[in-house]
Amino acid sequence: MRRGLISWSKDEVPEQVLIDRVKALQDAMKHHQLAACVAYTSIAQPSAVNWLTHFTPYWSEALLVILPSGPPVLLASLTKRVHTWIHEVSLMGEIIMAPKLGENAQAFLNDKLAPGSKVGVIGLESLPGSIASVLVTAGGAQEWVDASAMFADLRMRSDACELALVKKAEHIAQAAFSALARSYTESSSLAAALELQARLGGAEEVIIRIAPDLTKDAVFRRLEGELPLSGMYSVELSVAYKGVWIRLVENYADEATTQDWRQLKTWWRQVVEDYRFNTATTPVSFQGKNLEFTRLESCQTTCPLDVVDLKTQAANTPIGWGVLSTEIKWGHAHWPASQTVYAA
Amino acid sequence: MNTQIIQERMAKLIAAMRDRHIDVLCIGANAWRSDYLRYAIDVTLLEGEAMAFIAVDGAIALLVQSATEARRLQKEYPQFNTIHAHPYYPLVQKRLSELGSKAVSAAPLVALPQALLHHTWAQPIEATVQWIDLLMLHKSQAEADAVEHAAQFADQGYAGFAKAAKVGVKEYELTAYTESWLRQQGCPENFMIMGSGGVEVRGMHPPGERVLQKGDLVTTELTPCVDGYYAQICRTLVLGQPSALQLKCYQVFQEALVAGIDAVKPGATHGEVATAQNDVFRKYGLGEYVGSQYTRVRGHGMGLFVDGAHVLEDVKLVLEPNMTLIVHPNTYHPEVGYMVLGDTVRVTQTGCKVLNQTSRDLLVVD
Repeated sequence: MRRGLISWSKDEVPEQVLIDRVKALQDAMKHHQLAACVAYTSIAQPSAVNWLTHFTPYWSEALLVILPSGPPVLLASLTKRVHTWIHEVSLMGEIIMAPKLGENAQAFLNDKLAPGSKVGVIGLESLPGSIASVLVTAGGAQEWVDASAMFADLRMRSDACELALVKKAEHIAQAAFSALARSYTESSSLAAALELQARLGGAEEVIIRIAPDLTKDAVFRRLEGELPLSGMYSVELSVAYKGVWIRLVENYADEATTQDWRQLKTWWRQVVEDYRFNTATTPVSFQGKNLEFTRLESCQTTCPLDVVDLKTQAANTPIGWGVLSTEIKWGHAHWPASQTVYAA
Repeated sequence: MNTQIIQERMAKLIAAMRDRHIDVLCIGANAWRSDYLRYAIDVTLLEGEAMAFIAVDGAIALLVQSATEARRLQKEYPQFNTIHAHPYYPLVQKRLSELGSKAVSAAPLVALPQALLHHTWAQPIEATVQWIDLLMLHKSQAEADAVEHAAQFADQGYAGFAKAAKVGVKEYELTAYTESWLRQQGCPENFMIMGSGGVEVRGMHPPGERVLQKGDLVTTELTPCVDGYYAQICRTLVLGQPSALQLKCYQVFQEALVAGIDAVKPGATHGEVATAQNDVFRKYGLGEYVGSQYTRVRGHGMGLFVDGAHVLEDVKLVLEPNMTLIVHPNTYHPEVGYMVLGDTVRVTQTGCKVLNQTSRDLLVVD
């Protein structure tokens, strides 16, 4: 649920940036002969609409319609009372109250488009059935195609504005970790302190997962109730700031183990600095020990972070940034890491 | 988690599958809508999508889109066959096709992606949703107890909210303090929105950067979750001494809440609960402000989803013991701005039990 700061700073995200993004999409639509593009948004899939308009729903769901010209139109299940708020926090054209999202969107498109027009959906496969069953599979007047690849090609390049937001999100996470006490024995105290600092820093949303005993595994658990922490644990903090999501992992142990981990931290820092978004710079081992996994995530379409398939994606689209994660079994414990990586 | 609730729910689900000759029930979920999955197998997703395949013999396979979530669920629920499905949609489709001639049903439509809609289901998805909704609506004693537990968190959380509300604090800072307090209690989830200001305020929204001012009405809807079950509290406070006008206007909300709660009893409908509240506003010439232009609903069901069956005048849902809902006559008042007041209630054999203990007075924070 979104329950942190949601606001629009035009210093951070100038109107022109959003206008340019929409224009780039409209140019791509023209190239692909699309009469319109549709993007779904909810708490689970907010990213495409946020990138185009700066709007993130705190609740409910909406469909953004991009026509060949003009600002995007939002059909929103949210009630009319919040339309003013939506205009305050985003650059949006008309907002239409759409309590029956699928049906209302269908009526809107039938009104705007000629029968047989080709409509692209950003994230067609993941479009919720409650909408898709009306819009796509019911066989309406439009021809529906998946516009995800077309959108991802624009989206993943990342402009300076987005990179600045990513760095701010990273700073919020780092500052939150820095404010923690050195060690905790219970997850609730740790999470409360971390959550407070991240939200006071301006986080829009925070997800905290904890691996409570690195001598057993480095699997990050959801926090519900109390999770006793061993002397060696790890915290994964995912932070959303103005629509971008990052992750950061910090590991905690006694002084001797922390000393032992220094070489790992040094190695990881170098990996992050040298990373070039290709399989050649994706680490597979350290000092002869195989890594458990290495994963690169980035925002591609509607979800905040998706795993990037480096074999297919990187060759086609330059990626601006991502979250690199790994894990290595070191001594008697597991050592996980996650950090933001940037294109050179 | 209360294992009694988990076992009860699974037993009901399997019995319902047998009654309907369903071999496998597919439950979809995502980070927004995990309520059906939580009911079926007690899993809440943090990221990505997932689909549970629940066989009528009780065997459970769980296909998960996110690698991180798949690892977590493998560890937290070793009794399930949890698989990181990448690429997700083709692998879920493959799994469905492997079920062959078995009678397979799926729900809910809102958490089933377009990529899976083409499958031939044993019964329409809407029909499956309908019977699962009924299972979720008619709560057991233990489930209603869980909502009561969450209501205690809501009261305590609101006390923390009120303590942190001060002139000079920004809206998002106030939310941060409240969320942190709930985390300290081990509360995994909370839905909250708020508002601050005067007559210009028309509703609530996520916290912004506005700095709280003396004389502000500060509203919030706080909805913590315990063991998957949500309870809500809605309250309004004033920073500094309230004006006579604010106090007078607030009385309408107090009267409407009492009227709404008095209407909650077995056999009554959600519509009657809404009408009881709205009639109070109409009595004071404020009938215009109970419509959709100024307010969304007059309450809603509480349970595994924050926003259950709506309390609106045209909703015929009949109340039964152990159903839980919030009654909230929240709306815009043209003389003072948006005000909220609401309590979560549990339907009893003869009426209802109010689960929130926080005073319904307009709280004064100096």
